[in-house]
Amino acid sequence: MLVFATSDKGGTGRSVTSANIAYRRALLGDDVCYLDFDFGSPTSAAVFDVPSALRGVDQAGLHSYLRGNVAEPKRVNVWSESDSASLRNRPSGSGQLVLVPGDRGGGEFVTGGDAVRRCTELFLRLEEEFDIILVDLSAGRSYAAEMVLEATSRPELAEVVTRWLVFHRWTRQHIIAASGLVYGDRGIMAAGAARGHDEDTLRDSVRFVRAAVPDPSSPMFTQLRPAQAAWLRACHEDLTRLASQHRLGQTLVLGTVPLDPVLQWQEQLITDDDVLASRVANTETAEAFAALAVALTHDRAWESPL
Amino acid sequence: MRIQPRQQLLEIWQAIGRQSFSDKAWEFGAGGDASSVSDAEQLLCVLYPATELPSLRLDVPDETAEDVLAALRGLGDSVQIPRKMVEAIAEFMGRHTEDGAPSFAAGHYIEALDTAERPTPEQYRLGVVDSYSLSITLALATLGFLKVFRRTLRRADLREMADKLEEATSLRLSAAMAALLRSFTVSVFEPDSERGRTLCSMVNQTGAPNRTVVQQLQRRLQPLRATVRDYFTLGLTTTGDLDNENLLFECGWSWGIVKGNPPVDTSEDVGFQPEGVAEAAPYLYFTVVALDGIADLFSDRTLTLGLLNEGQQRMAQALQLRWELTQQYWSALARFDDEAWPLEDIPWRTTDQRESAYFSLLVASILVQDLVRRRATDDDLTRTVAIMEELAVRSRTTRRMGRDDGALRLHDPGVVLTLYGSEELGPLLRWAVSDFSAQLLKRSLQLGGLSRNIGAHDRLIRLAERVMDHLWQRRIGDGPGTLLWDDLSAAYPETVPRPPRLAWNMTERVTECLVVAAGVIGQTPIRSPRLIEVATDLLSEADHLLDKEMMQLSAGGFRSVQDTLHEAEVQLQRARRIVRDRPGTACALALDVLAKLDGLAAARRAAGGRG
Repeated sequence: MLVFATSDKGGTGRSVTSANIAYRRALLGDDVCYLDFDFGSPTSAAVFDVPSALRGVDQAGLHSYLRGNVAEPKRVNVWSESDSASLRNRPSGSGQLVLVPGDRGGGEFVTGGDAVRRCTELFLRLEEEFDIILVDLSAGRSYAAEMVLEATSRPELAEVVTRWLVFHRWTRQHIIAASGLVYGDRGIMAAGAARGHDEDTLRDSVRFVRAAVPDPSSPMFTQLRPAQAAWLRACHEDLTRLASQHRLGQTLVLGTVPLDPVLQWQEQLITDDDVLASRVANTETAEAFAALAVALTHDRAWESPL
Repeated sequence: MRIQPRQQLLEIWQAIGRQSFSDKAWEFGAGGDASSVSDAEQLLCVLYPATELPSLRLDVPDETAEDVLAALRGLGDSVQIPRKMVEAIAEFMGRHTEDGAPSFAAGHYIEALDTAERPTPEQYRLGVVDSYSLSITLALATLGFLKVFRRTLRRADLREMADKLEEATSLRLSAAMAALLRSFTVSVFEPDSERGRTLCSMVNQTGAPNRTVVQQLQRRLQPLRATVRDYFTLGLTTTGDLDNENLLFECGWSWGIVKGNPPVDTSEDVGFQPEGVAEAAPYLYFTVVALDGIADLFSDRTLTLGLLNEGQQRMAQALQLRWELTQQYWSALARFDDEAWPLEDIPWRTTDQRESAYFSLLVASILVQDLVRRRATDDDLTRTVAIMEELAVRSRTTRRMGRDDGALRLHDPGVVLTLYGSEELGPLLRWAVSDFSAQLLKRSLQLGGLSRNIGAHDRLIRLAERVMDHLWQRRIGDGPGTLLWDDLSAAYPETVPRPPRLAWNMTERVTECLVVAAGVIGQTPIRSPRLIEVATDLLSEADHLLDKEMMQLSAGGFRSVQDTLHEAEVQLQRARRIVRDRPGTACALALDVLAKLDGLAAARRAAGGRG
């Protein structure tokens, strides 16, 4: 299965959330491959705490591969190369967790027909090897997004299940921006349709992930003054209506990630150690990631609900 | 008990979720003879609040409130809930369709007057005004629900289901309207007949000579008589006798389609129009039921959502005429003599010589609707409050029920109505109505919503709260229908009434009451001219003192003083903005500012400066 993670704006927790989803899926026993298609700033290695690939690899990264400089992009086995103690010991029963980073300083580039062909081939090869291929696209309308829309419209990938996760924060601007990214003039739907995607199928393969959503029942908010709480509630209701009007209401939401102090300061995988042993992270956050990981392949969550 | 519509409705929904859903599908009341009345009531318990109160809406899955989802989680998530409701309504439509035409069978709500006999199958299928009226409410709720819900539908199978349901609902609506038109009757009688004499003695509260009363009655009813003669054509037999102005008349709804009333002539598909059997005489109970249903036809919601088609609009206009006429008629009788209203002479006596506090309540109900329609003056309204209070006492709703108290019969078995005309198809039938307390609550709340007089409003709300206490006690403790209605023995432990039994009619009436209560709460508080005056004066003093304080503020003043003055300024601005709608709040703000300013002044005085 191909999963594309995208967002219109930065700071949506796209990378950190999708990395956590990959991690949770691997824990469930799936072989998972994480592709860093955020060509402008390939930083996902930081989330996995892999020092050898911080800010991308020196050579043979995804940039080099797509430009045709190497036959295969370099792969990093997270279980063995991560610096994080709780990641280095591959939990029993877990599947592979492989990171495919970009090149250091590779930058955004204009894609051509060759890059699309190579991208398609890469997806096909990985699809045979892995259960889930999570592709982290950069924020906004990028060449990477256009390339994967082009690649997935090709007959070779017609049989591969493709899903899109659109990340946005729970604010007015983010909601409007995320809606534009999917349904706007140059959005995913329009760009996909222009490349021959079936509109209904494409629409049904898009789900939204709300990030950094304040949960009024969480311990973080017990100290709110009544006026603040009233304000928060009114805002929340406004946003719910706004999201519904912009076609990213609850029915199209795959999951919601609560606001977590750990993620505010450091983008990292939330392991069971963080929740249970050191207790720096909130259980709710870990649960949200786990729920998202399960929902990713839960067919009912991807059926058109109505 | 404080009436909290949202919390209480959700509590009821939760109980319904437990009761009506097994395997996540709606289950209609079991029992031999399906009653379209009971089934409609069961659906309306959820659908009516969900379509009347925006905060409880279920038709936009993305906007369903979290506490609503929690209460209905037995049905599923925000997407499944509206789907289950659509499926349940579709099942209702299928269940109550016979040979392709909507059926309005009363089912187990009717009994033989002679308890040794049983109604015939044909009688069980008889349509009744209760069912027509509820069908109008249910159909309008459904059509509005579908109108919004459809916008979110993309799947072909669901769209088709919605289309089919809409078609069936619209047909049922038309059929119910046609049947209601044919159940309306104007019955004419001699002033000298027994009915005539009873009517005259009921309205004659001052001992005037009978001849004078008859003349007054005829004068009062003259304009109404003219309306009937000139405008009533649809579904009513010729009312030739009305031309004879010496005769008296009564108008309203019989219990079903009136014998001899012709089919409604309309291009609209209204299904098969059966011959009527009901006696051509109005029943107060069915009149009130019909008036309630008809009112939904021209509610703001129906108009804004455009729920009626052209043919239906024509029938709705015809029904509206009858609605207005009936209200005017009974309201005129109830207030016949300004000095002493016949309505105040409890219990009301009907022209067929029956007396009951329930009839007084029913006439009061019509009067309340008439007051609402006319946006009546507070005088008439305040007078009605006392009647409501007395009815609450007489029915022992707000008083203890004695051991051998006759008032118990009002609740159990209730007021028994004989359905004359039904003997054509078997034994003579009866219909027992035992919703006194719920009816009382609804009318008190409606009046409360209408009243702009603080004293009367307050009395009504206190009364409603006490009636609610009583009703809330009557919820079933355990077994089938837990936390739904009706367990009379819980409210009257010293008597031995019937055992607890799930009654959808009571449950539906209570949800309806809560919807009315939500509407009352949604209004802006009653403006008190006295408070506005006080608030304005307080604001003026506070403004003045603040200006003075500002004059003393030197450039290098302390930050905390500046902040206090700034805050005071903002508070006063806000107070000025809300002084007309919420003078009490404006007073509180002004007082707070005054106290703050005095804190500064007192401190300066302590320092020996100018105070």
